[in-house]
Amino acid sequence: MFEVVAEVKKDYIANLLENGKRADERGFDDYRPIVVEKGVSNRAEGSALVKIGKTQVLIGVKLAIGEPFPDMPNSGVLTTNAELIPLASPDFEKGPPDEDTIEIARVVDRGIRESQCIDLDKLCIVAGEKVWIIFVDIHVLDYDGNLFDASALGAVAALLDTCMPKVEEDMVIYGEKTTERLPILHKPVETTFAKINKSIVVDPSLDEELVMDARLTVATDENGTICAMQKGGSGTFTQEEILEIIKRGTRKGSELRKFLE
Amino acid sequence: MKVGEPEKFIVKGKRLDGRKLDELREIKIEAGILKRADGSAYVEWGGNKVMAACYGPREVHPRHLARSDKAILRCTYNMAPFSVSDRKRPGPDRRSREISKVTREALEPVVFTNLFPRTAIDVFIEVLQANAGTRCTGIAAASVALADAGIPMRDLVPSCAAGKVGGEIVLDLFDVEDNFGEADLPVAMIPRKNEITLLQMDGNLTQEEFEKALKLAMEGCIKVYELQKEALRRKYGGA
Amino acid sequence: MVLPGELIAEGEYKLGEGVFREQGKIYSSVMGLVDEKKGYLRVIPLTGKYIPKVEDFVVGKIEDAQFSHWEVNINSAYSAILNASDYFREIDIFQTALAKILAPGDLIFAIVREITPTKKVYVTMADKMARSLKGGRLLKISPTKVPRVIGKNSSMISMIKKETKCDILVGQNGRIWLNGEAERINLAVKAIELIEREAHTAGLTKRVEDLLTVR
Repeated sequence: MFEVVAEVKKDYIANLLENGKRADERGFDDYRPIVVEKGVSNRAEGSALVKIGKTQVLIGVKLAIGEPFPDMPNSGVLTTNAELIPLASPDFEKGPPDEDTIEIARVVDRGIRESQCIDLDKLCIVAGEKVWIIFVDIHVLDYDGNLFDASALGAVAALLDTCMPKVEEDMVIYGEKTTERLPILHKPVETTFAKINKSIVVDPSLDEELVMDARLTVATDENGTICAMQKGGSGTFTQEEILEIIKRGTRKGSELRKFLE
Repeated sequence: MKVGEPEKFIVKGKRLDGRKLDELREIKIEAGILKRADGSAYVEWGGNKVMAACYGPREVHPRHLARSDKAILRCTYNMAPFSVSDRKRPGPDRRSREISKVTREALEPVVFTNLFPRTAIDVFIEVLQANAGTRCTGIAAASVALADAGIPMRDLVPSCAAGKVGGEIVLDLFDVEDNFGEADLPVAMIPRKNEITLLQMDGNLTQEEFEKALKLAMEGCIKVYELQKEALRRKYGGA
Repeated sequence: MVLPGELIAEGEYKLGEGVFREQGKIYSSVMGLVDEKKGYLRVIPLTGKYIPKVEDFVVGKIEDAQFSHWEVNINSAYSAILNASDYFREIDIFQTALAKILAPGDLIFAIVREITPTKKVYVTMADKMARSLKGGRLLKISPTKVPRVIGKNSSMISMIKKETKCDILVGQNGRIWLNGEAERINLAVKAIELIEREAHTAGLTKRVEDLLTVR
């Protein structure tokens, strides 16, 4: 899907990086301007629009009552889904989700799940029978690079924005929200780095993503605990590079987390 | 506590299946086990049984996927419906598609795809019996299958996971540890260059724990690497 | 025997197939046997598909007949093209449909004439060894074992031909065409299968000879 590589472009971007510069003049550890807007879709129980530079992702949270998983009868259920709709890029096609889309959804899901961001045990209504199901839907609106971080940040923002709907006799009354919030315990954020030749930069732009050798996403919580990682791309990382990325990612993560306040 | 969660994972320095913290499960690798495939391998890794087949380089279908400058590498990870306790619905689900993708990305760095423009190299990984760590088992098998098919490569790619259970960093989780443990970190690497080609993590680790787990997983990879080489030498009769 | 990624040499060598250089060192890229002659270093693969080389003889199977060329399956990742002008006699393509001369399914013994940088493969029949193959049987072996079937200075294949009185054409692409008396073909096939199975063992010639001469 993203494979529109121009070797010429790679040389240009890589040469700049070797001289310590990025094509858009950012520092290696600088994000593009970030905007997080909550409550942008009032039909959803919670929502957030995240912009990182020109990349825009809208995340909606819907709640429903359903059955728990048999092996976790006392826990609510988290479901994360992503859609890379054709509106967001000439390279996105309609139809069933491709592997890039699935990867984004699963890596965002993992960050939320593994950090115990949501206290799922508080979302049990009747043990083994009825629990809250949380649907996190990632809707990419404009793809200009780094969908992972935008989606992960937006997902947590939307969860923080979520108000429980009114329930009468086990029926959800959509549209009538209570003031009760989701039980949020942690605020995980994901930071993504791209490796281009020997250089490693945070928050890759679209051009950087198109020429990058490999990508590494690190999810951390507010205590600096690492809760998910994902390497992508056909290149490789050394052990030292990975450890360095974790250090830089943890630092950038606390900056990103400020957008969740 | 979840259903089936053990009270303790480590008793007197031993894990629930009797292994030491840094001990791999028993691994058997066999190269060239399928007749029709251009290359193949079978790996038994603890309770995992995984088969991998490689076809190619061959013509690309559908044709528009072909690249004029290199071969395309395609990996398909699939679980047999009977390979897990609750029958898995046949066909690709989100998990297996993600694993297919990271498997391809784990192998691609070593394959000389530039030698075979306009062709496809297809790798099929079939999980016949699963017991945690199937993606690592699959990558280890796929790499041997590629070598068995005579696909030129910079190195073999071994794979192995480390994780955290009962507060300790351990090598190569089995299912109970995987289900109830605190973290899992599957890794694949190019041993000759000490470069990492697969890295995923879920769970909770501090930076120090991560560093330790990564080192342990890489040591595990080196052991798997030796077994991969042994299997190929056995098949091709070299000493 | 070496495996992919194994260090085989350092220094100045001309590199052939199955090897690559990285930071001054030379490694094997395939499983195979190291072969060094006069500063030319390569690894002879023990397994793998047929990779066409110019001047290779191949047994091809006609896939399709177009207006001015045939498409030929040569048991490789790449199918080959046989232009009408590369047929061993002149064809007036405005008068004769190529399928009338060689139809899909027909076998030919041809020689690889050219391989373009984008791996388009052209074969030609303008060679006195080339011909179209009628009747007979087709045997497939691993292309990596073909040199053993042929033997040094064709010694092995000559012996098989002499002992079985069969017409045998060996393609570098692992296809072998045999024609002759049914029983004698069977004997030749047995001999070739023995060579494939035990290709890299000592005393092979003797065992093949025994197989062929035992009545």
